[in-house]
Amino acid sequence: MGIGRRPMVGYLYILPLLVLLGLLSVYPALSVLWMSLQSIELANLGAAEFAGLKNYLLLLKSTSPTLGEALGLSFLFVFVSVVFHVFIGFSLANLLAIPWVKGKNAWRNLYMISWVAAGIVIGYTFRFFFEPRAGVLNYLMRLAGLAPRSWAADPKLAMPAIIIVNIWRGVPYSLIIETAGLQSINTELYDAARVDGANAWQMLMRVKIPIVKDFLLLDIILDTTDTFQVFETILAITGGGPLHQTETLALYMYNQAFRYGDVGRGSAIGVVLLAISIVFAVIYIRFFRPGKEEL
Amino acid sequence: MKKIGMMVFVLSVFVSFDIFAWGGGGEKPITLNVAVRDYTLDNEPPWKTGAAAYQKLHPNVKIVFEGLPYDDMRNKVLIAVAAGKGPDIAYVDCIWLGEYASNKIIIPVTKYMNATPALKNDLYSPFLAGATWKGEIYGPWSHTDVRTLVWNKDMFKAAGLDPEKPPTTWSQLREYAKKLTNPSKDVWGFGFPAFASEGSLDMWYPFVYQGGKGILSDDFTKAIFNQPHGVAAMQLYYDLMWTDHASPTDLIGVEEGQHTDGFDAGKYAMIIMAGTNKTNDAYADLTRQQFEARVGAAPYPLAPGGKVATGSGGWIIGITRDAKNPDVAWDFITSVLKTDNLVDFVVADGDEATYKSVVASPKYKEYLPQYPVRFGLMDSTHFRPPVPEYLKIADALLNAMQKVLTQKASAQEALNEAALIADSLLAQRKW
Amino acid sequence: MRRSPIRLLPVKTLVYALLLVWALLTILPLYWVFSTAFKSPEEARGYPPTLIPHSFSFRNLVQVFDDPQTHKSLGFKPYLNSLIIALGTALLTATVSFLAGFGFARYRFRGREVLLLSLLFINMLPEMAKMIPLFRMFILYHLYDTYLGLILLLAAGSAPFSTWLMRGYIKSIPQDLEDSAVIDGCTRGQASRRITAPLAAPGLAAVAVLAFRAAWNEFSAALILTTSDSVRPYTTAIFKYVKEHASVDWHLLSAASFVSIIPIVIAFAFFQRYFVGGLTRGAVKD
Repeated sequence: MGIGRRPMVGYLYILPLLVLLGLLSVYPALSVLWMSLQSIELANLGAAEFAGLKNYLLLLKSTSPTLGEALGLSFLFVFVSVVFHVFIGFSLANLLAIPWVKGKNAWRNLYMISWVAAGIVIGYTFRFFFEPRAGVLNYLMRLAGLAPRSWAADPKLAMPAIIIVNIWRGVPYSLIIETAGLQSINTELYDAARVDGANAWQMLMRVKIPIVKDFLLLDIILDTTDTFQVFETILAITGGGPLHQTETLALYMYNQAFRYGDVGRGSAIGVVLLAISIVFAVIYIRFFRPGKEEL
Repeated sequence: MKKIGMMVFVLSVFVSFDIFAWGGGGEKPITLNVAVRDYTLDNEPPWKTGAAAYQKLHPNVKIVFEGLPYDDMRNKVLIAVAAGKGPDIAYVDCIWLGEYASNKIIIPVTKYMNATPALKNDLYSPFLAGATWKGEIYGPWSHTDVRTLVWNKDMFKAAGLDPEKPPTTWSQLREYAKKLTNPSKDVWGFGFPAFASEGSLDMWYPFVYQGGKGILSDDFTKAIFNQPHGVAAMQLYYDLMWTDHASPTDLIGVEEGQHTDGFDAGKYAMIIMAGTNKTNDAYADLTRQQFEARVGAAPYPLAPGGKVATGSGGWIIGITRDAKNPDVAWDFITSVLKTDNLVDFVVADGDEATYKSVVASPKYKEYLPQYPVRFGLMDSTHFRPPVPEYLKIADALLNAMQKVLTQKASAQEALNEAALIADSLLAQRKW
Repeated sequence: MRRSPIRLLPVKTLVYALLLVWALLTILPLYWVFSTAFKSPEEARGYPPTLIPHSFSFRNLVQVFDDPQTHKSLGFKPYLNSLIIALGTALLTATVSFLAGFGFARYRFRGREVLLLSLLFINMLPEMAKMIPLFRMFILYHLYDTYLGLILLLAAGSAPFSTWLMRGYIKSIPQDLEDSAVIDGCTRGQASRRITAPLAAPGLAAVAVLAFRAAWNEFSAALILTTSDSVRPYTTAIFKYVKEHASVDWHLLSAASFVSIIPIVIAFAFFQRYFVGGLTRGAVKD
C-alpha cells in the first residue's frame, strides 16, 4: 500500500455502499424471515401478529398449487432453461471463436438484442407470437401441415412455451461468459494440441472444456439464481396459468402476497426462494472464492 | 425489533403532523379525500356535480377526488390506510366487503343508514343485504351491473329460430346452441367466459343460484358448491363444450374482453355477460331501439325445477377508519346520492342503478337497453360471498372449472377438491 | 495448418448457417412485433398474417403516445419516469461503486476480505424474496411510490457487482500516479478524483450502462413499489396499459412494444463496448 494511507480512511470510502446495502439488501433479507412468522395481510399491514410457524404449516398443506408443485415447476423451468442456455451459449461462443469467422462483433451484438430488451416487452412479444389465431407460430404450424394449438392456454404446452421464451432470452448472457472463458485459453495450447494431431472433437474435450469448465460452472450458478427469479415474462404470457401450470415460485409469492393479500404466506414463500439462492451462493463462493492475494 | 420500533416512531411523527394539519370539525376548514373509480370522474355526475352542490352549502368543506383503476382501488386504499393516511371515503368492490370490514379498513354506517330511511328504503333489498357484513351495514351503493344471457337476433333468424324467443331452459339452451354452431366458420352457439379470472366464475354463479342455494352455506362456514345444484351447473358447461360441441374448446384461453368482442363480431350467437354491451364500439352509432333489434337480453335459462336468479357486482361507498369527520363524510355521500344526480350518472356512464327511485325514473327507462328484463331481475339478484377468503376460494373454484373443461376431472371430483380447499380456508377464519 | 479450400468450404457453410439460424430465431419474434406495429387493426388480427404490412402507417405509434379520442394511450410520461429512474440509478451506482471500489483497491482495513466476499453473497440474494419487507418498509418510510425509493433500491441491486468491477479497474491503474500527485501537494481525496477517476472512466462507463440497462428494464420492484402515473416507469405502465386497453388489440400492443424496445437497442448500439466489456470482466473477475 502506498504512502500516507491510513487504513481507517478506507471505511469512509465504502461507507455509502455499506449503508445502501445494509438498508436495502441485508435488512429486507433478514426481515422476510421475521415477517414469515407473522400473521399479516395486505389489509392489516400495520397490525401484524406473531403466528409462529403457521404460515409454513399452511404452505405445506396448500393444494392450489401445492408447494411441491410450485417447487417442481420452478426446478423444471430452471433446469431446462439453464441446460439450453449453457449449451447454445457455449456452441455459439465456439463458433465465434473460430479465427476465420467474419463479423464476430456484429453477430454477437445481434444475438444480444434479446438480452437488451425488457423482460415484460419480450413477454408481450411472445404472447403475440403464441396467439392462437393471429400468432405467427400457429401460422408456421399450419404451413407445416400441423394443427394449430393455443400455446399459452393449454396446460400441457404453457410450460414448454415459457421455457422456450426464457431460453431465447438467456442465451446471450451465457454467450458472453463462455466467450470470456474461451479467450482465457492460451493459444499455445491449441498449437500444442494440433501438433499432437488432435481433431476438433478431441480439442474440445481435452483442451477447451477442462479449461473453460470454471466458466461453465460460473455460468450455471449465476444463471440458475437468475432464472429462479424470472417473473415478468411469465406474468405477461400466462400469468401463472393455466391451472397453475406455469406458477413458478416468484409468481406464487407475488400472487399470494399481492393478489390474494396474504403477506405472511407470501413471506414464507420468499424464505423458500431465499433458501434456494443461499445454497447456490454458498457453492458459488466456495468454488470461486478468490485467493488471499486476489483480495 | 428495534428497527420496527424506530419505524413506528417515525410513522407516528408523520401521522401526528397530519392530525395537526387537518384540524378538527366545526367551522374550521375540513378536507374530504374521496377515492373513487376513475371512470366515475369522466362525467360531471355524480361526484363533480355532487361536490359542487355540497360546497355551495358548506364552503368550509374542501373535497379532493382521486380516480383509481380497479387494482389500485384496492391496493392504494389498503396501503394508505396501513400508513394511517387513508382517504375519508373509498369505493369498495362488494367482494372485498368482508376483508375490509373485519380488518376495520372501513367503518360500519348502520346508525347513519337507520337515520336516513329515505336512502335505506330506496335500495333494492338484495343490495342492502349485499352491503351488510355480520349484521352491520357498511355503506350505500354507487352502481351495479346485472348478469344476463345476451343473444344475437340476426344469427337466430339465420338458424331458423325465433329471434324474439331466447332459450328459457337448459335443454333449450343446449338445443339452440347446437343449431347455431358452425365450427368450419368458427361460429359457436354459446360462449361463456372460462379464462383464469374471477369474472369467469361470476358469470357462472347464476346457474348455481337457480338451485335455490348459493356458493357457501348461509353462515359462510362451508362450501356447498359441490352439492347437486353446483355440480349440475358445472356439468352444463361441460356438456355444451364436449357433448354438444356448441362452445369452442379453447374458451379457457379467451380473455374477458375477447369474449364480448367475439359476440359483437358474430363469433358467438349467445353469451352471458355483466351489464350491457350497448356501450361497445360495435354499436356506437345505434339508438337504443336499433340496438335492441339486434341484441336481446334475457334471464339465464333455467335448470329443471330451478328458479330465476342472477348475480350482481358493483361498488359500495365506504367511510374509512382514517376519516377524521365521519359525520361530514356521511353527509356528503347522502347529498351526492340524490335521485336526479344518480340518474344522470348511470345514464352518462352506462351503468345500472341499485335504487328503486332511479330505476323508476323515466329518463332511466328511456336509456337502459332491455329495461324490462333488467328491471325484472333486481329482486332476484345474488352476491358473491363477501368473506375475506373469497378470492382464494374463487381461485380454487376456477381451477376446478378449468380442470373440468380440459377433461382432467369430472364436475363432481373437481368441485369436491375445490370444496376441501374452501373448507380449510374457512376453518382458519379469524372473523 | 494446411487445409485444402475444398475441405474447408462445407465447414464454413455449416458454421455460417448455424450462426444465421440463431440470428433468425433472435430476430423473427421481434420482426413480427415491429411489423405489426405499422399494420391496421384489421390487418394485425387478420389471417393469414402478413409478412410486410400492406396498410403501412404510423397511426398506432402516434396512438401509443397520444389518443385524444379514446384515451387509450400510454403517453410520454412513463418513458420520462423510466429515464429519470435509470439515470438516477446509473449515477448513484457509479458514485457508490467507484468510492467503494477505490476503498477496497487502495486501503487495507480490517474485515476487507469478509466484506468483499459478502458482496458476492449479497449479489445472489433474490430480489423477489426481499420485495415484501421492502414493500412494508417503503410504506412506513414514505419511499413508496417515489423516484428516490426506486433509485436507492435499484442502485443497491447493481452496487455489489459494480463494486467488484470498479475495484478491478482501479487495481489495474498503477498507484504510483496517485502517489506522485500527493507528493506534488494533492490530498489523497483530490488524487483519487483527479487522477484515478479519469483513468477508471471505461470502468465507470461500464458500471453506469449496466446499471442503466437494469433500471430501464426493471419490472417487479416498480410493480410492487409504485402506483401512480407520476412515478410509474414504462415497464409497469405498459403492463397496466395492456391489461386495461390493449390485451386483444395486437396493433396497439405491438406499437407499445416497439417504442419500448427501440431506445434501449439504440443505446446498446452506442455503448455495446461497455456493456460487453463490463459483463466479460465480471465473468473473468480480475
